[in-house]
Parts: sequence; C-alpha cells; structure tokens
Amino acid sequence: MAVPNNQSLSAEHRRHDRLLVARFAVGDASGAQEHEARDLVRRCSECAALAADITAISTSVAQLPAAPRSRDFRFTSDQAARMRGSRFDRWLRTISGSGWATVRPVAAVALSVGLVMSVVGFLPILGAASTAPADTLFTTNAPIAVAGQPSPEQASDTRTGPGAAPSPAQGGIEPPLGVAESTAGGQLDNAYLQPPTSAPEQQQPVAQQTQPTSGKAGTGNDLGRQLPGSSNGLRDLILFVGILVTLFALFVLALLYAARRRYYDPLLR
Amino acid sequence: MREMVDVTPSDSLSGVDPATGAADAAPTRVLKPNDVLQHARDKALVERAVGGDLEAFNEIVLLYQDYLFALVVRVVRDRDSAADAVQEALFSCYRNLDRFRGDSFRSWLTRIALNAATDVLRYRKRRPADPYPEWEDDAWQPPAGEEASPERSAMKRHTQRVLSEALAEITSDQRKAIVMYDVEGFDYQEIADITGVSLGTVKSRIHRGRLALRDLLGKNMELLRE
Repeated sequence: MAVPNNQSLSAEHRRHDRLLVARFAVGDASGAQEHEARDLVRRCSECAALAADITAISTSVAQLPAAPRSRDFRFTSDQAARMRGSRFDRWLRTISGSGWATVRPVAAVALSVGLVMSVVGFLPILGAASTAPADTLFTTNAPIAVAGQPSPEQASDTRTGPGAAPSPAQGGIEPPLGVAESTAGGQLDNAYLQPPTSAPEQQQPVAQQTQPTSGKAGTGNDLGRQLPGSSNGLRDLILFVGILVTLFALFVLALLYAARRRYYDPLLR
Repeated sequence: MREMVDVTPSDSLSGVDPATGAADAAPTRVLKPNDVLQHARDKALVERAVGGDLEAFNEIVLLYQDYLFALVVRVVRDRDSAADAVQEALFSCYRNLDRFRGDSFRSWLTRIALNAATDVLRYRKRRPADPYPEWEDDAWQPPAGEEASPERSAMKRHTQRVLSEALAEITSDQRKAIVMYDVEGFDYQEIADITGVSLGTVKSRIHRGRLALRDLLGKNMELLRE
C-alpha cells in the first residue's frame, strides 16, 4: 500500500468536513456524526490537528483576561430621578413597550369600523337630500310637505307671494310628464309660473285625477319616503358613534405613535 | 409578596472567572441550585428597584458591572466605547425595569448590553476612525503573578494579544457567540435567547468562528498549543 505524500493528504483533507471535526472537538457531535468525525480524526492527521487546535482555541479564549472596568456605573439619585422621569413619562414609556403592542391593531380596527359607520351614517342623508327635489317635482305627495321638507315649488311660492300660481300640491296643475321631460330649465319654470287659464271646476278633475295616484302610491311611496325620515335618528346615531369611534381610535393611534417615537428603547429590541 | 434571598455575590456572577465560564458551558440548559438562587435574588432586587429603591438597583449594578464591562469590551474592543455602552445599557435597564419578564435577569441585561455593543459597532462601521485602539493599550492586561517569570508572562501576553487580534478579525456575530459561550459560560440555548437567533445558528456561529480563528492564527497556533 502506497503511503500518500503531504500534498495528496492535503487534497484528501480538503474533502473532509472541517465543521464536523470542529463540532466533534468540543463534544457537540453525536450519533452517526460522532462516529464519522472520530473516523476522520483517526484516519487524517490534519483532521486530528484541527480537532486539537479547536480545543486549544476554546480553552485559550476562555482564559483571556477580563478588562477591568474603567468607571463605577452606579447611579446617583439625580441620575435616577432623571432616568425615571415623571409619572406621565413612565406611563408613556409603558405604552410604548411591547406589552401594548396589541392595542395598535385594535385601534386600527376601531378606526376602520368608525370610518365605515361614519360613511354608512352619512351617505343616506346625502342621498335623501339629492333625491328629494326630483321627487317633489313630479309627484304630489302630501307626506313630503308634512315631513317638513319644503319643495322647491313651495319655496318659489313664498318668493312670488300669494298671487303666484298654486303649486301642484295645493291643487294646481301638474305639468304633463312629456312636457317635463321635453322642457328643461326656464321652460319648466315658465310652465309653473303661468297663471291658471282654466276654471276652478276644470282644475278639479285634474286634482281628482292626481288624487287617486297619490292615494294609490300612498302605501308604497309613503313607506319609501317615510323610511329615510323615520330612520334619520338611527342614522344620526350611527354617524355620531362612527365619528366618535374614529376620533377615539385616531387619538389612541396618535398617542401610541408619539409614545413610540419618543420613548421606544432600541436597546430592548 | 416580596421574596428576599440573601446570597453573597460570587465571583462567578461577574463572569470574569474563566474557570467558572468553562464549567458552566453545557450544551443543554440545566438550572443549577445556584442559578435558582441567583434568579430569586435578582427578582427580589428588581422588585425593590421597580418600587423606587435606588439602593436595590445600585446593588444590581454592583453585581453585574464587571461582567457587563468584560463582555462588552471583548465585543467592541475599545474600553471607552465599552464603558459608554455599559452605561447606556444600565440606563435602559433602569428605565425599563418594569418590563422585565422572565427568569434570568442576567440574560435580559446581557441582551441589552449586547445591543448597546452592536450599536457601537454599527456606529464605528459607519465612521471608521480608529477601529481598534485597544490593541495598542496594554493597560488592561492582568498583572503578572509573582511566580511568573518575565519571559513566561511576556509570552503569555503575546499569546493573548495574538488571540485578541484574531478575535477582532472574525465577524461580530461569531465573536459575540464565542465570547458568550467560552468566556461568559452561557449555554447554547441562552445565547440563542439573548441574541434572538436559532439554536443551530448559535452553534454554527461558534464552530465556524473557531475555524476562522484557527485560519487567522495560522502559525501562531503554536503559541496556543503550549
């Protein structure tokens, strides 16, 4: 059997697992790895030297002298008072810690819920306000007047005075739908402002004609109209609570952010 | 209820006794009776300090300042920076004493001090002016014993210097792990908890660090073999 020279030994050693030998040297290899490492150390002289060196390094590092401290680190009472801060400082420091980490997502969820509530409470009011004039233009419904929402016609009536043309709600002539659709802007206004040319008895049938329609629609239409009106209180409540929750969540988030910015201690990472 | 345990601070607490450090270096964590007493004592002191007792906190400082300084100076390789880092760590510890949760106050404090040391290293990396001034400072070498011959003590100093220089060359993560394991006597799991990495990463850092030390020492390995 040929004895390998140093060069071939090194080449062979390069294929050996040095980390395994290093672990074996300090007793960190176990089971099959320990057997493998023991075999390597027995067969390869460089692995054996490596194991001995690792042990020597570990021992030597442990024996390195400790540097004596250069100062006394005890606190004076002034330093301690400065470090502790006021009660408010301590509270802010507490909430900036990891123990309050769950508050942040909860506040974020509350903010989302508050925003959704605000939007839900706010949107129908906008919708009612925008649809109300259009409805009152083309229908003659008493509940609208009763509900205390003056129609544009009523508003123009007050402007034009008692001699002005009666609004459809007051028994006036309702412009035909076709006219309302074909005319726009001033034409429509002109139609309303025209004095009644027909006799009152001629107006009566028209009023009678309109009466059943309003009566008929009373069940469905009134319900549809009263729903926004009757739920206004609920919507206001939702809007109020939503805004309240949003503001509170924003306050909590801002407080946490400010506390974290000022009192977060990076050494506690 | 406040638990008071009267335990005289032992030298092993300072962590500067290499023999103790080596003896504590076990692969698995086993709480020894001394550890239990130490934890109980620390908790009692912390409770008093949280209640505003400055003397109790200064007692903690007395117990750990040597250990902390010895640990940090090995990591940052500069006594002034190490002193500043330890001071910062103790300030932080005092401010956040009420946040201490867990069994080992020593581990918690070590973590804070190592974070402070890491910050020093980061700062130095950004502004490298005088990377390792400690190399030229022999003042922190221990005084030689009367029985030691001048040649022997000179050789020992040279060996320690060579090893310190090699330690300064490996990565800071490897250096921290090796110092905590070989010098301060933490076990793998404690180092993993303190540094916030996995157990395997700690072992890998230590073993790879030792291999790197061996490569760096080269011919100077002869000094260590003696």
